[in-house]
Amino acid sequence: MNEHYFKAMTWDHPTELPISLGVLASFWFELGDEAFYFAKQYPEFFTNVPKDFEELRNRMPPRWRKGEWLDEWGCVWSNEFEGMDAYVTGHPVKTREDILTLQVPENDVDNLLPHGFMYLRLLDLRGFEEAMYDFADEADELQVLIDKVVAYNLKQVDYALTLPKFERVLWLGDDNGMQTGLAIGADAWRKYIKPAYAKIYAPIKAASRLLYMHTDGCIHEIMPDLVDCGVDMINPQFRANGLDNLVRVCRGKIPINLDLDRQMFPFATPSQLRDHVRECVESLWLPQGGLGINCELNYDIPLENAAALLDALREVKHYKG
Amino acid sequence: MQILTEISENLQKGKAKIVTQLVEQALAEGVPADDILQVGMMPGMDIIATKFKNNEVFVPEVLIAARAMNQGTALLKPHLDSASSVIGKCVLGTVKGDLHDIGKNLVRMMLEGKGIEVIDLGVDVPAEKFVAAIAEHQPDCVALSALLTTTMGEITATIAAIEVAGLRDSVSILVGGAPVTESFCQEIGADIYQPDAASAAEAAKAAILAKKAA
Repeated sequence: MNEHYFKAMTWDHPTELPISLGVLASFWFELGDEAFYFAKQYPEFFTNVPKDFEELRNRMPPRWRKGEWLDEWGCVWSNEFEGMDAYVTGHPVKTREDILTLQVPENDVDNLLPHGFMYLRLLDLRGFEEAMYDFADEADELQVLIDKVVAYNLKQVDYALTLPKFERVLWLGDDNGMQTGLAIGADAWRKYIKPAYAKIYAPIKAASRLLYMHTDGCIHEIMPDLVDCGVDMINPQFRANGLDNLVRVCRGKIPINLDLDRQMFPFATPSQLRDHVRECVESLWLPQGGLGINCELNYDIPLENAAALLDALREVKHYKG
Repeated sequence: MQILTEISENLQKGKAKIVTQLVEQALAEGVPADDILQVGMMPGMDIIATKFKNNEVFVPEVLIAARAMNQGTALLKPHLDSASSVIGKCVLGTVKGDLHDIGKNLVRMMLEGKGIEVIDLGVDVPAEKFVAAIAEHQPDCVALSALLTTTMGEITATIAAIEVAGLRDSVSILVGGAPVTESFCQEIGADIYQPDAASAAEAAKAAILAKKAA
C-alpha cells in the first residue's frame, strides 16, 4: 500500500489516484508465459511478479491449492481450481450444543486474519442454513459463538499489531453482503455483527493504526456502521452496490478502494472497460481523496481486456477532475 | 376461513410448531388438504417471497417460513392428490467446477414454496448429470447456477449437452448467479434469467403454467 493510499484514506489530498492490482495465482498458472510478458508491459501495476511457479505456490495461502484443507477451527475447505479461493464444504459445529463445547483454537500465526475472519467464520463453522436459523431464532448460542470467534480474532489482532508489515495499516476481509443485500438484514447485522467488529477493531484503533476492510456483496447500507467500528477505507464491489449508491453513501464521506466490476471483465469489450474505469473515477473522485481503484485479474479475462483496463487506469491515475 | 388465515400468518412468522398444530386441526375439522395448501400455506410463502424480493425480510425469515411450510406439507402429503399439489418439476444444480450452494438453495426453497417439486442435484454438477436427470425425471424446467465468471462457461456447455441429447425443447432453462446477466442468458440460448431467488421462482412458475396451458 503506497503513500497515495494513506493520503486517500485520510482525506489528505493524494497527488495521484491510488490504484491497486490484485492478481489471482490462477492468472499466472493458466496464462503462463503470456501473463509474464503482459506484466512486463505494466510494471507500475505489477509490482510483485512471482519469479516462477514454485515461488507462486509458496506464496499462496493453503486454501488456494486444489484439494481439501482443514483450517484451525476444523472447517474443511474444498478447492476445484489451483490458484483460486476455496469454499468451505465441511462445517464442524453441527448443533447449537456443539457451540457450547467448541474450543477456541490456539493462535495460528501463519493464517493471521484470513478473509472471512468474523461473519463468514460463523457461516463456515455452522453452515449457511444452520447459521441463518441461529439468527432467525435469535439463539443464545449464537452470541456464545460470536464471542468465541471474537476472542480468537482479538488474539490474532494482538499478534498482528506486533508485525512490521502492519505498522501503519491493517487490512482485513469479510464478505458481509449477498448480491442484493445483507443475508441477515441490517437490523440483525447491527445487533450481532457490528459489536463484534467494534470489539476486534478497538485495539487496532487504540494502537493508532489505519484499518482497511474488504467486503464483497451489497453492503452500502452498513458502510457508515463499518466506519463507526473503526474502518478507515472500505473495499466494496461496483456491481453489487451500484455506482449511484456508492456515490450517495461514500463520496466525500467514506474512503473507498472501489473494486472495478470484475464480473464484466471476461465479457465486456475493451471500449466498455475503458468507459467503466472512467465512469467510476468521474463519479467518485474528489481532490481531497477518499478514492482508490482496485482491479482484480483472473485467468478468464482476455488479455486485450486486461490491457484496456490497465491503459485506462494509467490515464486516470493523474485525473484531476 | 379463519384457520387458513392463521396458518398463513404463522407460516410467514416461521412458527413451525403452530403451523403443524393448525394443519392437524384443520384436517381434523374436515378442511380439504388441498385448500390448506393452496389457500393457507402457499399464499403465506408467496407473501414471504415478495417481502424477500423487496428487502423487507431476509434469509433467516425465509428459511424459517420454508421450514414451517415443509413441516406442514409433510402432514398434508398423505391427504393430497399429488397431481393437484405439485404444479411442475424443476431440476436444479450448481454447474461443474463451482461449489457455491447458497443461491441455489434459496432458489430451491422459493421453487418449493410455489408448489414446484425440485430435484436438487447439488453443486459441481457435470453437464451429463443434468442431462441424465432430465431424461429420468422429465422436469418442466432446469435451473443452472454459477457464482464464478470462470464457471459460467459450464452453463453454456450444459445447455449444449441438453440440446445434443435432444431434450432442449422439453424444458425451460433458467440461469442465475452473481455474474450472470440477461444478456448472457440471451447469448447462450437460455430461456429465463432473474436477478434474485424469488423472481426466479415466479418466472419458473409462470413458464410451467404457460407450458401446461399450451
